Amino acid sequence: MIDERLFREHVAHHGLNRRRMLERTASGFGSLALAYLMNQSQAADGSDSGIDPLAPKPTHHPARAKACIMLFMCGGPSQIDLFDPKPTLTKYDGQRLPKSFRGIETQFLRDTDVIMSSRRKFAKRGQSGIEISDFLPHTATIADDIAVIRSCHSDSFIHETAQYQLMSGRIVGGHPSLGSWLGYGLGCETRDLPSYVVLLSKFGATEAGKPLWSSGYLPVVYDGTVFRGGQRPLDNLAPPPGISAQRQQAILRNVLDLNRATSSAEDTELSARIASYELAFRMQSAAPDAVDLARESAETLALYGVNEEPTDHFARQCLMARRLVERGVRFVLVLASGGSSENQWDAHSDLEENHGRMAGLTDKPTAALVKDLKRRGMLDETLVVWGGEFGRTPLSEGKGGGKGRDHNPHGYSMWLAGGGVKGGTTYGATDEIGLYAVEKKTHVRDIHATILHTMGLDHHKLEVLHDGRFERLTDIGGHVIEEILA
Amino acid sequence: MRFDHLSILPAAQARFRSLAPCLVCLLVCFCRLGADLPVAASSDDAAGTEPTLRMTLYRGPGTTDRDLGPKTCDGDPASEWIATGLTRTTLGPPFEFVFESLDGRTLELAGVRILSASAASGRRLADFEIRIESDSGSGIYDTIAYRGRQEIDPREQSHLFDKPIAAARFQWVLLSNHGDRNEFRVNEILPIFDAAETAATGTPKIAPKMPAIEVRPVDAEAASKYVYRPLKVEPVPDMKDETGERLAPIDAWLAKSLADAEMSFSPQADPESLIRRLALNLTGLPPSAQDVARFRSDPSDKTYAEIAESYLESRFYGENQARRWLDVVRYADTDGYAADGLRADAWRYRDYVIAAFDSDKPFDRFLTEQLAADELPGASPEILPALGMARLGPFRTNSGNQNLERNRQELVTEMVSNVSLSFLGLTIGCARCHDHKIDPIPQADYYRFAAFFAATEPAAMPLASPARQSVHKAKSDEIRTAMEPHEAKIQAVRDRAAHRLREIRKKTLDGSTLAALEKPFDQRTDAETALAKVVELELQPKEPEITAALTREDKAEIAAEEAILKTLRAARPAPLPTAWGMKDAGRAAPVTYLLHRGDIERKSGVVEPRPPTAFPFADALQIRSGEVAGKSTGRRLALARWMTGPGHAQVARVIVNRIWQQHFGRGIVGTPNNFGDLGDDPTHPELLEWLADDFVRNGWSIKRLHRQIVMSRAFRQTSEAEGTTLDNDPLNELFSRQNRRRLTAEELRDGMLSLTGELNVLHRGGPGVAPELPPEVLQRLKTAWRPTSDKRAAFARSVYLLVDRNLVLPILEEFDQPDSMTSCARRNQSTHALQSLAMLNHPWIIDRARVLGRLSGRFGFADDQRAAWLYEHVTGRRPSESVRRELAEALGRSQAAIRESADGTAPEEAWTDLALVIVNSVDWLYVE
Repeated sequence: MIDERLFREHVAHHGLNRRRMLERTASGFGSLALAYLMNQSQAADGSDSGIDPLAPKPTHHPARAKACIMLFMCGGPSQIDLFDPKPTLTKYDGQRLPKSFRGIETQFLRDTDVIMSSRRKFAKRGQSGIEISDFLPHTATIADDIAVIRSCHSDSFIHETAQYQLMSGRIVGGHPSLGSWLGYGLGCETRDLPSYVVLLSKFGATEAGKPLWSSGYLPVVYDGTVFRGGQRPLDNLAPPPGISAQRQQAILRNVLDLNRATSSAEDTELSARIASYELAFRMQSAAPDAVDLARESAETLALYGVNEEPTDHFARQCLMARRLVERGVRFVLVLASGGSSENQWDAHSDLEENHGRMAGLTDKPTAALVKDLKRRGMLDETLVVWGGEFGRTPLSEGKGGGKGRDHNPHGYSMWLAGGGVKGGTTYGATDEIGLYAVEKKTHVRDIHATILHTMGLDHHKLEVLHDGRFERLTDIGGHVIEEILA
Repeated sequence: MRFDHLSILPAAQARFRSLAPCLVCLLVCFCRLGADLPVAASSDDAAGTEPTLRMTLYRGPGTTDRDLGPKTCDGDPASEWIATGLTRTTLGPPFEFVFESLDGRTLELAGVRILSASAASGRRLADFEIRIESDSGSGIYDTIAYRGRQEIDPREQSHLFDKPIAAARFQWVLLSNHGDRNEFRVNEILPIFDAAETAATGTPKIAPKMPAIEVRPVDAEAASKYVYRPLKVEPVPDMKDETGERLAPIDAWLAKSLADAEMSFSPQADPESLIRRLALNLTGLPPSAQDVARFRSDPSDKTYAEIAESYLESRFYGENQARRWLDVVRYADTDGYAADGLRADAWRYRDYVIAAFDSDKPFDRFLTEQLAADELPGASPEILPALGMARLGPFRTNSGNQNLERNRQELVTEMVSNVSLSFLGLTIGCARCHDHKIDPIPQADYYRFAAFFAATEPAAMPLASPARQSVHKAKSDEIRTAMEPHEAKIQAVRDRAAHRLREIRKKTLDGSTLAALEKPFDQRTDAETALAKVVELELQPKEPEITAALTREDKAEIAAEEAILKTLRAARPAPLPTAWGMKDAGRAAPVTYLLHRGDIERKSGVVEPRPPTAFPFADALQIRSGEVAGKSTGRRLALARWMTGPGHAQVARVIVNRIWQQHFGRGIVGTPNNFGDLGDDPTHPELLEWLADDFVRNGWSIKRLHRQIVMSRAFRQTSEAEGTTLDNDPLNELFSRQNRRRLTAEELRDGMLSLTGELNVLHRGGPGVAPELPPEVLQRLKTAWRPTSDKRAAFARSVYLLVDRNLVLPILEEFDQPDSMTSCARRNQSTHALQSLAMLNHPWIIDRARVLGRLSGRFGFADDQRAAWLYEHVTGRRPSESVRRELAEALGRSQAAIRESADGTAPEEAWTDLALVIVNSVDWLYVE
C-alpha cells in the first residue's frame, strides 16, 4: 500500500509524487487504480503526465539545460598531456616518485616506475587563457566556451568499475545510469524518439558493456537506446526484408483497431499500450530523419569532419547527437572509443602515439559540436560533457616499455560546456605532479549533481525506492559546483 | 554458540600428517640469482640426502597472484600444471628459492607437489606465497599455501628474497580445492601462526588482539515490529459467503477487511480468463485448448481443482517457479564486468532449483541446502549445486594490483545481502558501514552475519563419487607422470639454447661486471648486488629469443617430444563434473572483525557469528561436533537451522508473501525484499501471520500454498472493477478484485513457442543455451558469444537460456527481464514504443506469426472460421461478434496490402499478418 507518510513526502517533494507512485504502481497494481490516482492527482497540480512514463515532468527548479550530450572518452585520457600542464614533471623526468607520494593505488604501476613528463606544448587559449595542449588544436578554439575541471577524482582504477561510476555513480553495475535518471526525472521533450540515445564507437563496446547505459532498477523504458546511422538507426525499427510498407501499415492499423475494439477507452494502461503503437509508428519516420546527415549543409559536414578521415565516424556521432537533441532527446551518450585498449585513450604503452591518434579522431568533431550548437543558439540549453572514466598517472608504466601511463582516478580533468556553464573557466587543481586532486576536489558525484542541477533537478530529491533504500544517482554524496555555473 | 578457533590445529595436522614436520619447523628462505633449477622439486629430490628443498619462484613484471595461481582445473591436477607452466613463460627470470628448517629438518614431501610461488609486488609490506598441493587421502588434492610477509624497501624489491625472512611472520593458509578462482580466497583464514611459539609449546598461539564487540540490545520499540517477533496467530474470523457457507481462512481474512470497508469480493472471473490466469501463474504457459474447453463446459470447483492440480504436477510448474526464484537470487551464467567470464557450472544451480520446486522440496530444506548442503551429514552430491546460491552475484576478475582482502569483503557482502534479502526480507547489507539508518540493525549485526561465512570460499564441488574420483585421479596421475620426462626434455633443449645465448652475451661484459657476477652472492657488496641484478636481467634471454635461437636439431627434438605430449594430453580423462558451489576452508574460521565504516584498514573489534540482535534467541546457536559433515565450520548450517527454526518466522513470512505476489500481482507486503521500515506494512497482517503459520505447520510445502491460494475466492475474482469498487479501493489494497498484469518476458516468449508447437519440451536442463544473435546486438558485447550448436535448443524454455550479465536477450529485455545485477523482487511492467516495435518487427516474432498463420490453415476452415480459430488459439478466448468483424476487416486489409505491394508476396502471408496482429492484442499480452 502507499503509506500515508510516503504520500505526504511525495507531495512535499513537489512533482515527485506521481513519479514515485508510478514506481510503486506501474509494476503490478493494476492500471485502473493507476488511472484513478492519476486523475485524482492531476487536478492538484494541473499537469498531465498520465500513465506515460516519458511524458515531460516538472523540474525541481528552473532548468538551464534541456538536454545533455556526453562525449565519453573511454579509456582514460591523460590530464597531464591535455588540460593540466605540470612543468614540475620535467624536472623529475625519469626519477622515482618522492617518498611522500608512495603508496598510490593504480592498476599496474610498481614502485620502480618513474616519472614521465609531458612531451606536449601547452598554451593559453582564447580570451580566458585556459591552457590546452597541442594535442587538441580544435578544442583550443572553444576554450572560452568550456569549463575545465582539473580536480576530478573517482573511486576505481579499473576500467569498467570506473565507467560504471562515471555513468551511474557506483563502481558496481546494476544501478541506473545518468541518462536513465534524466528520463525518469524529466521525461522526454519528444514523443517520437527515445529520451536516452547511445551512439556507439566504431571500435566496439567498452569494458562496462551494456550496463553502462542501463536503467538498472528503473523501468526499462529509461534504458539507453542504441542508435546507428542509416535507414535503420535502431533495432526493430522496420520490419525485416520481405514485408512491404503497405503490409506494415495494414498491420499497424489492424493492431490499433483490434485493441480499440477489445479494451475500454477509460483503461489507462491499455490506452498507453495503444499509444505505444502510435509512437512506434511515428518513430519509424522520426528516427531515420534524426540521423539523416544528408540534410546537413556541406559546410556543416566539413566543420565536423564528416566524410574525411580520421574524423568521419566520431564526426557523424557528434552531428547525430546535435540532431537528436534538436528533436527533443534528453540525453545522448557518445562513445568516442571502445573495443581493444589501443582504440581507447588507454595509453599504457605509448602515450604519444595513442593520444595523438585518439585526439586526431575526436578533437575536430568535439569542437565543431560546441561551435555548431552555439551558432544555432542551442548551446545555452544543451550541456556538453567531455571526459573519460579516469585520467592517467604522471608515472610511466615500465611494463609498457616506459612510454605509457597507467590509470589515475585520483586526479584528472573533465570539461563541461553550455547549458548554464560559465565558459572559459578553470576549476580546481591537482598536486604539482598531476597525480592527486588537491584543490576544490570534485568527485564524479559532484559532476552528477551539477549536471542534474543544470537540468533542473535536485540530486537530493531525485530518488527511487529499491530494495529498502531510497537510491539516488549521487548516493550519499554530491554537491553542485556553483563556481562553474554562469 | 562458541566457535572454537583452537580446534583447527589438531584437525589440520591430522589432515596433513605428511606435512606435520614442516608445520612446526621454522622456515627460512633465501635466494640466489641465476641458478638453473627445475620448476618444481619432485619428491625424490627431497627424500634424498639433500637437506634443502629447492623451488623456483617466478617473479617478474606484472606478476600477480592470478597470473600464477591455478587457473581452471576441473579436478584434474594435470591441467593445473599446464596452466602454471604456461604462465611462467610470460614472466620474468626465475629465482631460486631454498627452504630449510632451522632444526635441520626438511619438508616431507610424500604426496605433495609444488604448484606455484608468487609474491605480490609493489607494496612495502610484501606478501608472498608458495603453493603446495597435497593429497590429503581423500582422493582430492588440496592446496596449501605458505605465506610470508616482509617489510621491504620498495625501491629494492629483490631484497625480499635476499635476506632470511623472519619465521614469526609466516602464516600458513589452507586453500580450497581445484577450480577456485583465487580472487575469492579467504584471507587470513587462519590467524597468524606463530611458528616460534608453536615450536616451543606445541600449540599455536592464536589470539585475536582486538577486544570483542559487545552485543548491545537494540531499540526495544523498533525490535517489537512483527518482523522480529514470533508468529502471532489470531483466530480466523467466522465469515460466511452469500449461501451461508463458512469461508476458508484466506477468504475469511480478506472478506473481513472488505466488510470493514463496506465492500465485498468482486464476482468470479469468466472461465476463459480464470483458466488462463491459473495456467500462466502456475506454469508460465497459456492453457491448452482442451483445458479451456473443459473448463468452459464445466466451470465447477471440482474441474477447476483438477486442472490446478494437473498444472502443479506438470513439468512446467518447476520451471516457472524456478524462474521467479532466480530473479530474487539474481542468477546469471556469467560474472559480469569487463571479463564477463562464463560460469560453466552455474546452470547446475538453476537445474537444482527447478528440480526442488518440481518435487515440492520443503522450503526449510531448500533453504538449508542452499546455505549448507556441504555441511549436512549424509547428503548426496545431487544437492551440492544448491550451494551456488550465495555465489551468484556479479564478480570482477581483473589483472593488475589487487587488494585481496577488499575483494574478499565484496564477496562476503554479496553473500550477506543475498541471503538476508532473499530469505529474511531484510537489508542487512545496508549496515556494512554504519548502523542501519532505518531498521534496528546495528553495524555489528552485519559483521556477525558475515561471520557465518567467514570461512566460506567459493569452490568447485566435485559431484562424482569418491570411487570415480580416485579412478580419475589415478588415470590423470599416470598421464601426468608419463608427460613429465617429455616436458623436461623440451625444457632441457630450451635451457641449452638459453645458456648459449647467455654465454654469447656475457662475452660483451667488461671485467669488473663479470667479476661481480661470478662472485657468490653473499660475498657481493651492495653495489655489486645491484649491478648483478641489472646485468642478470639483461643476460637472461626472453622466451621468444630462446625460440629464435633454437637450431634445426633442437626444433626436431622438441617437435618429437611435443608429438608424444599431444598424444598423452589427448588421452587424459575428461574433467569430472563439479558444481558452482562454496565450502569452508576448514573446521575453524578466521576471526571476523568489525570494520569501521566498512574499511578493511580500520578493524575495530572482534565479532562472533550471531543472528541479528533484534530477533529473539539471537545468541542461542549450537553446533555439536558430529552434526556437521565434512571439514567445515558448521556455521552456515547453524545459520540455516536458526533461520528455519522456532523462535521467529520471518523466513516463512517472506516466502509466503512472494507466492502471494505471484498470484495477486502484489504481496501482502508490497515490498517482498524489504520488510523493514522503508518497506510497506502488510495490508493484512493477520492473514500474513496465519499463512506463515499454516505453511510451517504443514511442512513448508510450496505446492500446498499455491493450492490454497488458487482455490480461494479472492484469487478467482474478476480483474474488472465494477460499481464503486474503484472509488472505495483504488489501489486494490483490500484485494477487492484481481489485478490485471502484462505477460512477463518469459511468458511471452515461451507462450508464443507453445502456441506454435515449437517449444522444445525435451530440453530440460544443462548448460545455458546461447541463441544466434545478429551482429548489431553483439556489437554491444565485448566478450565472445558462442551460439549453442544444437539449433533445437534455441526453442527451449526461457529459463534454460544463457543469462549473460552484459547482454539481456532481445525481446526479453524489452519485456523487462531483469539484468541480474541486483535482486529483483518484482518485475517491472513497462509499456513503451520500443517494446511495440519489437512486437511488430522483430524477425523472431514475425517467424512465430508465420507458423501460427500456417497452423490455422491446416483445418480447411473458411476464412472467418480460420480467423476465429487463430484468435481463440492465441488468446484462449472465443471472439465476440465485434472481434470477428475486426478480424475479417484486418484480414481483408492485409490481403489488399499484399496485392498492392505486388512484390511477389504469397497471398497466404495475410495469415502471418493476422497472427501478428493477434499477438499484439491486449488479449494476448495481458492476463486478466
